[in-house]
Amino acid sequence: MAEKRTKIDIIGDMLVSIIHKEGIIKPTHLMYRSNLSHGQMKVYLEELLEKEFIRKMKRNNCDYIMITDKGHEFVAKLREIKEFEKTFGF
Amino acid sequence: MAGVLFGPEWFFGEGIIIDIFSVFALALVTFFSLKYYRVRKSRSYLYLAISFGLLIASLVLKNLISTGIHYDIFGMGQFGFGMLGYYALKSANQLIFWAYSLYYLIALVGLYIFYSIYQKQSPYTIALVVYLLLISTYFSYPYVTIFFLSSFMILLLITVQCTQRYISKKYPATRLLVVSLGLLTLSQVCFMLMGIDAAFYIVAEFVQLAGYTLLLITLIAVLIHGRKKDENRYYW
Repeated sequence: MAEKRTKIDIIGDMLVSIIHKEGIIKPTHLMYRSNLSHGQMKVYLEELLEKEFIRKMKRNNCDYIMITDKGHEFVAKLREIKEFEKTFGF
Repeated sequence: MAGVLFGPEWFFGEGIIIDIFSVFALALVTFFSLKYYRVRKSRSYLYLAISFGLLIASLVLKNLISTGIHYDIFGMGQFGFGMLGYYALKSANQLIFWAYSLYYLIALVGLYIFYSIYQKQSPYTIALVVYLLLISTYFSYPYVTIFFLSSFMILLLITVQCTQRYISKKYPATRLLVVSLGLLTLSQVCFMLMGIDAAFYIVAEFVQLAGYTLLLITLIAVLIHGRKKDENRYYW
């Protein structure tokens, strides 16, 4: 059985999902790609917006979510942490 | 035993330089472990930082004692004859006994915390191990081999666990860590043999230096590879 994701895991998954869609994604796509419910997604989006890891934008009358430089930097930091975890076997 | 340096007198300076490098390698791992703990809030990071922090403290203490003995700060060579000289020598002996015992205890507890990251310990096991560590510490002063044997055993268990992880995951940086831990384990064997020939102490210090150098290389590899953008890694 897969381990339960921590808050940081979920934030990481969300940001990486955005990066894999060229840095810009529709909220519904983000929800499916990050395996989140609507309620959970709302909470995490608020936190990501507050931390300025993402920003909202409109394109062709549709809502989009875009990753910021700060968000990219955070993903790089998480990758570094994951590497450390895998090496030391945490 | 009082006033006895671990290695030969002429190796005193070189030994300190090696230990400064070891402290540097340990401090870097401790720093990153604490930094990552602030993000992940995982206890493993905290335990690793505490463990390596204690190992740093033990190395610093060991070198302080060695420096004290080398420069005769405890005044071991200045005590005269008679009762006054006897009591002064006795109190200096006691000071060195406590300082060395603290060094042994800190180092062994540090290693045990490192081990306990990988093997969850029940409160009963912890109580038993603490008792055994205290016993080892007490007897390490007259028989220093006991200290190195205890360190060897704990390091061996950590290395075996790390090797098993490497075999199952085949992760390149873990291989570096396995070799690093293996060298540190081997250095304890060399330290045990220094009673036969003082040259083994020098060999042990250099093996230990190689071990800590590899630990530093492992950390650098983690930092470089971890930051690299890898498009194939969907789940970072």
